[in-house]
Amino acid sequence: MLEFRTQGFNGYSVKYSPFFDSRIAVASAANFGLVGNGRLYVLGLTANGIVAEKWFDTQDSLFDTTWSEAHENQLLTAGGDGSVKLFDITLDQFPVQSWQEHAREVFAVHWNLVAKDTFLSSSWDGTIKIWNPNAPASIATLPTHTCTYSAAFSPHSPSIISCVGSDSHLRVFDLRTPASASNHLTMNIPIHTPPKPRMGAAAPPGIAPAEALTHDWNKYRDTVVATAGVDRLVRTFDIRAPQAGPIAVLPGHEYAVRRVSWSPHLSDTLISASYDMTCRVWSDGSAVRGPAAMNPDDMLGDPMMHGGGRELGRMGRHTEFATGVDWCLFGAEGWCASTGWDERVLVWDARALMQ
Amino acid sequence: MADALCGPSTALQTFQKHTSVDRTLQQDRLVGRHSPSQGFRSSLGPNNGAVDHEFEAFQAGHALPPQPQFQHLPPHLARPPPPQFAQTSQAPDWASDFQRLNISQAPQIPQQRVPAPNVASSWHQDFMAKQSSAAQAPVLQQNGVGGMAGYGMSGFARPGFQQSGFGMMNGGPLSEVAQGKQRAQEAVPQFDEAAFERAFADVQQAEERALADTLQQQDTHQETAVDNSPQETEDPALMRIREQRPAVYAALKIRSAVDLQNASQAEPYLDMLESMETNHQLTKDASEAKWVIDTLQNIAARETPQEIKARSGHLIRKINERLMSTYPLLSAPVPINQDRIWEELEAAGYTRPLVPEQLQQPQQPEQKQEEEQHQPRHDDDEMAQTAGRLLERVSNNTSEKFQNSQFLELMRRLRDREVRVEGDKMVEVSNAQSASSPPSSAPQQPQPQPTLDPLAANLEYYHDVSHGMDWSWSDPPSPAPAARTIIPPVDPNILDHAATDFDTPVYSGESHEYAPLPHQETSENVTDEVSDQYSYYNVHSTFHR
Repeated sequence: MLEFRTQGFNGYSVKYSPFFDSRIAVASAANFGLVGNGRLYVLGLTANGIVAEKWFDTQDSLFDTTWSEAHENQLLTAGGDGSVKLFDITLDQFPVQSWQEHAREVFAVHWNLVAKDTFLSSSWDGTIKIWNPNAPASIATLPTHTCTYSAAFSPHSPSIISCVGSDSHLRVFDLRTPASASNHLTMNIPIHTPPKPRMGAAAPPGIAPAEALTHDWNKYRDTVVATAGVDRLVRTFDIRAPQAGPIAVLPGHEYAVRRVSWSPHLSDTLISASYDMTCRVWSDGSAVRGPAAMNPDDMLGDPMMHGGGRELGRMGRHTEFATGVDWCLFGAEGWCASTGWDERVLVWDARALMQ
Repeated sequence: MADALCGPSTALQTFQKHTSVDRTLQQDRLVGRHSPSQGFRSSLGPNNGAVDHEFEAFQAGHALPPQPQFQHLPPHLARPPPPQFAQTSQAPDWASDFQRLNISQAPQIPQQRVPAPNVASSWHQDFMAKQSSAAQAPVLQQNGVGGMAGYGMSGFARPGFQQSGFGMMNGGPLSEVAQGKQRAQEAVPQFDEAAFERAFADVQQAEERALADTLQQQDTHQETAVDNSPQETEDPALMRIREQRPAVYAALKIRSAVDLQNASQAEPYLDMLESMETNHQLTKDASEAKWVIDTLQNIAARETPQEIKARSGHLIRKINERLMSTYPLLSAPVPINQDRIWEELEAAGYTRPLVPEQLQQPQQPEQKQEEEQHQPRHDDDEMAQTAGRLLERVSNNTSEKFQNSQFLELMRRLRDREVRVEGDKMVEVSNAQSASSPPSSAPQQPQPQPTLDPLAANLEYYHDVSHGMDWSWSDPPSPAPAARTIIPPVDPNILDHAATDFDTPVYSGESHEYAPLPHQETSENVTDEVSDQYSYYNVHSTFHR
C-alpha cells in the first residue's frame, strides 16, 4: 500500500489517468470543504513512492475532478464557487479555461468517454450542463430540479447521460431525443423502490427515499448502473427494466456511501467509499465466483440483501470519511486509489482483500 | 436558427428542427431561480448581494426600502399588517384568489376591456354602414360607445364581448361561480383593526397587574391556569373566547402584544401555550390547534424579537408533532373547521380587513430573506446547530476511529463555539475576540454559507433508520409529566416525513383547494418532469434554499 499526504487539504475525489498507469489526480479542499481554498494534485507513482508532480491552488474548494479523454495533460475540476476549470499540467499555476455558469457548488464533472469532445458538470443548482472545451459557454443544460450530486456519460454511448441526486431518483437523459418538454429526459427510476418480491421469499422491507450521492455505469454490461447514497445501500439497476426495481442490493456500509466505481476489469465487481471510513469491494452476484459465493451467512444475514451479491473485502486504513476511490485501468486488475478527509491518498491492491 | 424555423420546408429540414434547435436558453429560465451569489461560501464581490436583492425586489414590483412599521401610523394611514389569521378563513380556491387579484379592482376592468368592444363595434359599424341606410348610422355609433342597450347588432355585441372577456380571464365557465364567491366574501364583515387595538390597550394595565397572579397559579395548578388568567373586564364575547378557547385567546394576546411592540407581555401567554401543549390541552380540538399554529406562524414571520420568534417556532413544531401523533393520517378523519372560531371572533368584533392582507403577502419572504442576509451571526448559529445535529447522528458510534476523528473534533468545537467561520477561514473564537475589529478587506461581505447541511443530512439517515426501520410510532417516552389524564405520546420523528408548512392542506371535509397534479395513468416511465416526482420532494427543505 502506497501513501501520499495531501497536507492541509482533505481529499474529495481521486481519478486515475486514462493515459498513464502512474498518474493520479486528486481534488481536495481545505477545512473539509466547509470554507477555504481547494487544491488539485497531480501525483506520480514512482519507485520511491508517490510524489506530487504538480498542484494547482484554487480559490474555492474542489469537489471532483476528471481527466480529459482527448488530451493526456488536461483535466477538469468541479469548484465550490460554481466554476468548472480546465487545467493543463504542462502549464503553471492557472487553468487553461474556466467556465462559470452554475449557480451553486459543482459536485461532479465527467468527460464523454466515447465522443471525447464534450464533458458535463452537475451542480446543486439542479442542472447538468454539457460543455465543449473549445466553447466559451455551455452547449446544453439539462434541468434535474434536484440537488445533483453525481452525473456521468455512459461509457457505451456518446449521448446518454445519467445522474442521481437528493430526490432519490436515477435519471437517464438521451441527447438524441428532441429537446421537448422533457428536456431529453428519458427515464426516471426511483432508487428506493424495493426489489420485486419473489415466490417463496419474504417481501423485502420498504425503505424511505434518501439522497443518492453517487452512481456509476458498468463498464461491460451497458445497461447496468450502480447507485449508492445516504441509505447506506449500494444498488444496481438495469435500465432496460426500470420498473423492476434494483437487481442487486448490497447492504453493509455503516454510513452514507460517498462513491462507487465499477471495475474496468471484472464485470461484477465494484468498489465503494463511505462515511464509515472504509472502502469496500463488492460483487453484485452476476458472475459465478466459486464456492465462497455460496456463503450461507450472506444469504441469511441482512434482510436488505438482494440479488446474490456480497462484500468481497474491505479496506479500513482511512481514519476519516473516505470520499473518493477509483480503479487503475492498467496492469493487473485490482489496483485502486482512494482518498479521504484524513488528508491521505492510498494506492492499494484490492485483490489482497478479496476472498 | 431563423433559417431552421422558417422558409420552404423539406422533410430533412423538418427533421432537423427536432434535433438541432438549441433550447438551452429557454430551459435556463426554468432553473435560474437562485441568484448566483446566494449560495456560495465565498462571495463574488463586496456589495454583490445587496444589489441583487434590490434588483429582485424591483423586478417583483416592490417598493424600496421596505415600508415603515404600520403600528406607529394612525389607523387610516396604516398599511394593513402582514397576514394574520386571515388566509385560512375564506374558502381559498384559485378562483377567489383570482378574483381578489384582478376582478375586484373594479376600475381596471373597463380599461383593460376597452379595445375589444371597440374593435367589435367598429367592425359592426362598418358592416352596418354598408347594410343599412345613412340615417341609422348615428344611432349605432352611440351604441358602440356603450350608451344604451339598443336594437342594433352592436348593442348586443358589447355586453356579449365583455362577458366572454371575463370568461377567458377566469378560465371559461367558472366565471360566474367565481363572481358568486366574490360576493360571498364581500358579505363577510370587515373588521376593525382600531377596535382591536383599542380593546387591548384598555385592558393592558389590568392585565399587567393580574399576570403575576396568573403565573403563580399556573405553577400550582397547571391545568386550571388558563381559567384563572387575568380577570380584567372585557366585553363578554372575548370573555367567552377566553373561557371556551383559552388557546385561541392566548394566541390573540400574543399577537396583540407583538402588534403593540410589547414583547414582554407576550411571554406569559407563550408560557401558557407551552404548558397547554404539554398537557395535551391544546390539541384536544384539532381546529383550535391549527388556528393557533397559523397565528403563531404569522407572528413568527413578522418583525418580532428573536426570542419570541424562536419560541413560537419551537411551539409550532411541538404542536405540529403532537397534532400529527394524536391524529394520524389514516385514522378516522378529524374535521378541521375554523369557521366557528372565526364566527366567535367576529362576534367579539376582532377581525380585520382581509383583502389587502393577501396583496401584501408576497412581500414577506423577501423581507425575511433580506434580514437573514444582514445577520452574519445567524449563520454562525446555524453552523453550530448543524454541527450539533451531525454529532448527534454519530454519537452512538464508539469506534476508535470515530472517537479520534479530526473532523468530528472540529464539529465539536464548532458546536461549542470554540471555532467559527470567518471569511474563508476557521477562526479560534478567543483569537477572533481579541482582534474583534471587522476585517478591513471586506467588511460588507456576507458570511459564507455553511455547506454542512448536506453532510448532516447524509448522516441523518442513519439516525432515522436505526430508530424507525420498523416504522412503529410508539417508542419514545413522552416528555410530558405523568398527568391524571393519559396524554398520547409524541413521535419525535414524525415531522421528518411530512411537510411542516401547512400551506396547502387538503382537509377531508372540504373540497380540494388546488387542482390535483396530473396523475400518471400508467406505470410507464415517468418522463415528464412536472409530474409526480414532486409529490414527496420538498423543495423548501434546508438545502434548496
